[in-house]
Amino acid sequence: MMKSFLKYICILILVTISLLYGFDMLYSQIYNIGVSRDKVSWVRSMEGKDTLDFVLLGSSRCIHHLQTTILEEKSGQHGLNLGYAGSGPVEKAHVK
Amino acid sequence: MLFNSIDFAVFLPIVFILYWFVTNRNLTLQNVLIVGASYVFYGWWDWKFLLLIVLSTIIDYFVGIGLSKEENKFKRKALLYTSVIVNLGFLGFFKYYNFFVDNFIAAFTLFGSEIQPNTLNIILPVGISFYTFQTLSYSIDVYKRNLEPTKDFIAFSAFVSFFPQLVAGPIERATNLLPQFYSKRIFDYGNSVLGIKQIVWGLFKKLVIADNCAQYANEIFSNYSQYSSATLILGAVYFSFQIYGDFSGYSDIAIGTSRLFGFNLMRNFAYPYFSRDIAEFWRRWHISLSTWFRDYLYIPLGGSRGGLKSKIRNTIIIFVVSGFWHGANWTFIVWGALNAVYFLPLLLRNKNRVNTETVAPNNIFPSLGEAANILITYVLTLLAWIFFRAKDLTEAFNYLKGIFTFNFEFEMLRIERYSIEIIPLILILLFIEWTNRKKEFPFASQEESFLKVSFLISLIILFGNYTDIQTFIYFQF
Repeated sequence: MMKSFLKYICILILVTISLLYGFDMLYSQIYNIGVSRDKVSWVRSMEGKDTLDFVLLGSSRCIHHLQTTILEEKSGQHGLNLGYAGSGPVEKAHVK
Repeated sequence: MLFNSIDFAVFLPIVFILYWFVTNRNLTLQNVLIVGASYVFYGWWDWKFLLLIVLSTIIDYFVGIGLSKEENKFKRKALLYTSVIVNLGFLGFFKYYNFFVDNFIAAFTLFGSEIQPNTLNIILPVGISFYTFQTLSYSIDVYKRNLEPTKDFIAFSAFVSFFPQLVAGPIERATNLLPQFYSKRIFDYGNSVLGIKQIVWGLFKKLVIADNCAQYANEIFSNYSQYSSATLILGAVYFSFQIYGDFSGYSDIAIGTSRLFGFNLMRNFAYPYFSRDIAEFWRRWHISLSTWFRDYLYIPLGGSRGGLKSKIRNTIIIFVVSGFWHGANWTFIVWGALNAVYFLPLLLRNKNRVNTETVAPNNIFPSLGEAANILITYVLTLLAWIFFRAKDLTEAFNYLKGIFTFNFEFEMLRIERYSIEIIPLILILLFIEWTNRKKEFPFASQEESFLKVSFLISLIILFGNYTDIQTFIYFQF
């Protein structure tokens, strides 16, 4: 009885993990081919994205404290500042 | 300890292993483990309040013993009153002292006398309304000779403090729960699997529905003067699902957890939002409290027997007292009284027992008439919930006034969410409940596949609210 119960719990955990893995794959697929709905997917889909070396993401601190022109001058790289007031860390989770 | 916390996720398997693998050969040891685990569970909030439970246990145990030996009517009554005074005394002091002092002062001020306020900074012990009612039912049942008093102090302590239902019910009757502590528990695979499913269902209602609705309801009720009628209506809808998900979710987790330990608790909710009239709603909402008040207050008062006047009086009393049980605030009293006003026309026309069966049991959809009745009943409860949720009566009336400005604009809330965002999750809940409305809870059968339960767990992981963990609303009652 107890053995069967423990087996049930183990199978439930395995099925749940598989299901979550499936959901993740499905979501990633839709996210990658779908219409842009946030800054990261917009950058990924933009024309000339290959010319970009960096994108700055973050809150108002990012907008006001990081000057793209200075960074470009100093590093010789080309980038964009997409900071937005109140923007949280969630969008950064999409960056790989 | 909250059911939706990491602490409980660690606590439960430890107790489960100790219960079935270490103490399983000795019934007394198993009961000792339950008492110990329950005290740890409760003491996690504040160990000092454990003294109240211990005191209540000791007094009611000896009152029970005394009642079994005593034949003298006067002495038996004295013993019963001891139990009633002690339990209601705890409740009265911790829950209602400041309310009565404040209102006493307000009444005197109204007549021109000045009294210095003498309120105390009292912290309400978690779940006091639940365990005091549970122990009271024991003393009353023993007094009425409906139950043999127990001579097993450990079993009685376990009955009073049983951790799954200690802080928010279901309020168990001694006649159902106490005998379960006397008999040897044998691990039952089917019942335990049902327990897991019921826990998962309860967590879904709490984390996905209640806690998400709470964010919206809190925002709308806190800033109600700034929002349109449509948003205010949604605020009330969100609160109605918050309180339902929160409380019925707790009950499901409690009943499911009890199943893991070989106990069967009474059902506390039966899809109340599918009720076709308010009488049916009260047979389906917080069943353990409604039946408690029916058995220990309504029937002793005379119930539906007697003349029209006593019928009306008893109904008003039971609803107002039930409202007051929820909290020391006029809002709860008005909430109770409003429900009495809804209920009385049914009672007086003898129509309070028309809808006792599951709605549309053999059809996919309800008939137009049934759907209209369900909607009307829901709207009536919605209006009453506004009083339940509001901080005071002024807020409740202003909120209602706001609804009747008829400004139907769906807007963005200050929490940077659109006011309609949570509706799909509520529709998922209603769909699952509607399609399973004949069962005790939606996954209450052995045949449910792993996939369905896993899907529900996935929804909890993906859509559960973990950033703003809400305590259970009924803990404050």
